Amino acid sequence: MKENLKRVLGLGLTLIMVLSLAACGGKAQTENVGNTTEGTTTEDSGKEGTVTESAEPTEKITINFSFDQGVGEPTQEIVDQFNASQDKIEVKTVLLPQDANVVHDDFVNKLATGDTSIDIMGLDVVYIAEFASAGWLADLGQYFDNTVTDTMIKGTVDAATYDGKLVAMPWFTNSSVLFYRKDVLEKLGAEVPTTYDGWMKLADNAVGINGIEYGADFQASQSEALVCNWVEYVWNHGGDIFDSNGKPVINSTQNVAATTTMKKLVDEYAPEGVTTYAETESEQVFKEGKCLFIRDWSGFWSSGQGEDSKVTGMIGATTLPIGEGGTEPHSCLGGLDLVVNTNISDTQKEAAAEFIRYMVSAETQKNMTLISSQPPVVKDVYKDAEILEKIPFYADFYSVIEGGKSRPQSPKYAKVSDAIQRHIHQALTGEVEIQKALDDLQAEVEEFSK
Amino acid sequence: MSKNKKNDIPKIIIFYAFVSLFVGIIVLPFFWQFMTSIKPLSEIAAMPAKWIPSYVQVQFYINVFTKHPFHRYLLNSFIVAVTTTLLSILIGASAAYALARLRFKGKKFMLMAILSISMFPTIATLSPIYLLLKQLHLINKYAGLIIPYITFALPLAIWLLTNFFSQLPKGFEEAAEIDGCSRLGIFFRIMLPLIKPAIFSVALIVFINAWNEYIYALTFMTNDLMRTVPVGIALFPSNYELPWGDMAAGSIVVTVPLIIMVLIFQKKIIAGLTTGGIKE
Amino acid sequence: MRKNIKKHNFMSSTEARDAWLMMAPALIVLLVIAVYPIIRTFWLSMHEMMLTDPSSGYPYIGFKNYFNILKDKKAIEAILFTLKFTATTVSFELIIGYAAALIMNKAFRGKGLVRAAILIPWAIPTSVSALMWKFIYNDQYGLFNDVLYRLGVIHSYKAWLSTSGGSFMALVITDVWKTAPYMALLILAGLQMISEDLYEAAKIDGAGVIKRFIYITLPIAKNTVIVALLFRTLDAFRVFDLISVMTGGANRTESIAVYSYKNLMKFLDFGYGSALAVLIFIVVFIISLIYMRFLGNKLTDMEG
Repeated sequence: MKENLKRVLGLGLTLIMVLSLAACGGKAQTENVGNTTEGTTTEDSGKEGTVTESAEPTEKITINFSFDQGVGEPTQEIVDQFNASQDKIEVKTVLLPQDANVVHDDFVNKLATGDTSIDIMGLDVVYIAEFASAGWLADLGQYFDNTVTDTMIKGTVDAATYDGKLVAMPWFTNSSVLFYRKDVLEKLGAEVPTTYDGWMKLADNAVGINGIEYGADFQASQSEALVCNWVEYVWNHGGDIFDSNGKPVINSTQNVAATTTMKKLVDEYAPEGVTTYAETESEQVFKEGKCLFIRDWSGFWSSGQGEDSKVTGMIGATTLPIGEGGTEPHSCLGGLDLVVNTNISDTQKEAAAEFIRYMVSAETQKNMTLISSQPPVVKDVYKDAEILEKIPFYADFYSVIEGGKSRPQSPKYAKVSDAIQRHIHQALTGEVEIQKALDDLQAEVEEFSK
Repeated sequence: MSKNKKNDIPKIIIFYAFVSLFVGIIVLPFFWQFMTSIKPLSEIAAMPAKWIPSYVQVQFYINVFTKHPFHRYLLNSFIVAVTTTLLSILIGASAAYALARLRFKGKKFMLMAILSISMFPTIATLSPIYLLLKQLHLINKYAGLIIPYITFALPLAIWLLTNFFSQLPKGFEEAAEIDGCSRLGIFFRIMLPLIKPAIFSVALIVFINAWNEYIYALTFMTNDLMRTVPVGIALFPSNYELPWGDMAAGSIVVTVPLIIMVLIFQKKIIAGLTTGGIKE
Repeated sequence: MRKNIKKHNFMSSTEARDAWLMMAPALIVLLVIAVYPIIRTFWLSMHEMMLTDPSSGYPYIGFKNYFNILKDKKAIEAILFTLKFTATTVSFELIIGYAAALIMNKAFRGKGLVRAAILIPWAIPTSVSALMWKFIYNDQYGLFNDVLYRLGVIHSYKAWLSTSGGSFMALVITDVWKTAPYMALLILAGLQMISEDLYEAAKIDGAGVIKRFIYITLPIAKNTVIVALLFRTLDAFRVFDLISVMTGGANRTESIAVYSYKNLMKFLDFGYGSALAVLIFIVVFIISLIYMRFLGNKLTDMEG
């Protein structure tokens, strides 16, 4: 080793020199970054400023539009089309990672400190109430009348309204669907069941057929996905989270029944690890061909039948089942709304409204649906022949979305959701009795609903 | 084991069995991660697990750089870690020299203060630094990460360098004094060159600490293109795909350079690590 | 290093002044970016500060946030979990680290390789090692299940991260894997201070392996071990990356740092979150004071 010492030393010194060179570059960059931001609040460093400012009229208003990468490419396409279509406004995109929590935290961090670097945000529908109650969202009512919102699915507009004000504009929606293995049902000669009991009975017979190992598959990891799954059991057993006065009604008998059904599926039908599954993990097992059915978002219709899937062509879709006490199936609505930062100037707001108008026109919505497979909010698009040809599944899907419900709207949604995730997860893993878990959850939600 | 006798052989076998087991457990996760990164997608989920892929594919490595801005993560980490390291050593070296070799009142207190600052839990300074960076518009800027990194890198550098300086034999200064060197002259012309190798050890350790930091990077870099490697890779998972393969490939990409660095410089790193924590 | 201070002529008069001058840049930087933020965290913890509710004006509320910690079941659970995690990981790391150090304290072929291998877990980011191990524990295609199944320990694949017991074990194994080697290095450095002659002398006196361990190795390596132990304890107490990546705090694996982070950055409750952060700071600070007591001689030496 000793003879190496000199060599190592030499190498080390070279490296230090290289490092120091590199670092000077790094420092310079840091300073640059600092300089660009001091005067202006327009854009984050490193952001893809895809549209350059060269050779353009100087009077253009710049709008910064931030959303998650999940819809990055199609949205960029639409934005480019908008930028080309007129010469007053220029929309720049700011991409965020594809994770609802990260996106939420990023927006909150910006808005809580009165930041104006972002004008329009693509915000998950569950956070509308939280953002609106904090006073961060511009009232869109002054820019849009009913003629715009009347074209949209009612549930999505309701979810965009807070305190009677239109604080957000539905952009695209999403809803869960029960996907099942057509081939297995055909082999069994079975109809599509409409109740949880029916599905369990079917699952008892299905194991072993065409590689089926598990009767059920869904998302029960301690995450937002668990909240979506659980509230569906609750609604479909006739229960709810808050009553019409906004009081928590979590430890009701219906909710105990709902949670019991869910736990039974966890214990007896789903893969061992289902309480660690979010969407991706659950989809993987289904795509392996091991599950009879999976509760998942509508987009799985296409992503579940891709190259890496062993069940391509074998997937059917239906509404969620109901349980005892349930009357009709409700699935959990998701999707993104467009919201406007309240701190920006009026001129900026007007420009933002114009861009939003473009985004929710029937034509753009159809376009977006064609290139992204995201369910649109404008009703007519579901009846469009071109759309139905490309996504035949939308014919039935429309009724699913119409029956969809939003997760409880609360200004403290982040805390409500966190509490649901913890307590329900403990009930499902058997750490805590169901009744006790719901009692604890009730007490906790009461505590911060005061 | 220089004087092995024949009846020692079973002992040696047991000994090596232990050593191999130990090394095996250390290496196994990397082996598995590497195999995962070159497996075809269909074999990642194979049951029973396939240890050796039936053929090698590099798609995941391509994904890492095409589906995710991984080159940006690497660049960001590099810029931040290198700048942090250099600044810490630049600012820390003279302080370490003073602490190790000059006489003044309150030295013990200063040493303790610096050592305890190096142990500050990052979470404890998170909220004020966050508010401060917000005010200065430094969120999502390199400076916004380098500044908080200095909080742990600088005391660490000072502490380690102090140890190295104090190991130098006494008497250098006296000789230099006689030659008429000023204090700064002694520091720059005599002491610094003497501990060059030690500076390198310290730089490596500080660099690795900065490179691996998680909480600050997670909080102060919210723009995907500004994320560092440890955070970027942890946020690969998304609602739309199962990226185990990508994550495996990403881990290999970040781990291999670190492993090479460790293999080349292990003596220096060990020297740096052990000098700080252990009483001589 | 001894304290034979020979006052010399012109330099000594300026020595203290020069020392402070040379330390000044570092001290100023540390005051601004480390000491001030800590004080400010204390200050924040005395206020009601929900960032989502700027209209409240963030009033001063004294120690109310701290009393709330005592009333908060989740906080108590997080503290207990952190203590359990710290105690478990540190003891395993000590045992394994010590054993590994004893092995490596011999001269054998391939020792360099082992020492290098040992550094690898230390060198990679915790988040990356957490991801690797998370994949290993996967219920459907994880290595952990595969190995145990082949060895006949389990008869069907288990979802290790779906129960609190399994998650705890998974976290402990991962943490021990990452830090026991580091512990081994520190202890090894201590062991290497024991001279071979001492052992040889004991051998000649007829002391067996165990006696030599108890009477020679243990006493001499004691301080080293304590220092390594304290260092790991304060590290384990602030555990964040590992848990945040591996379980996200699910299945009752929320450490106090994770819980504090959640309050700060998710609920934007800067008052309460800061109070939790201060709590971590105080515990870590106390451990580091004890740690420094054991380093005491060294600190005094440097004074020389």
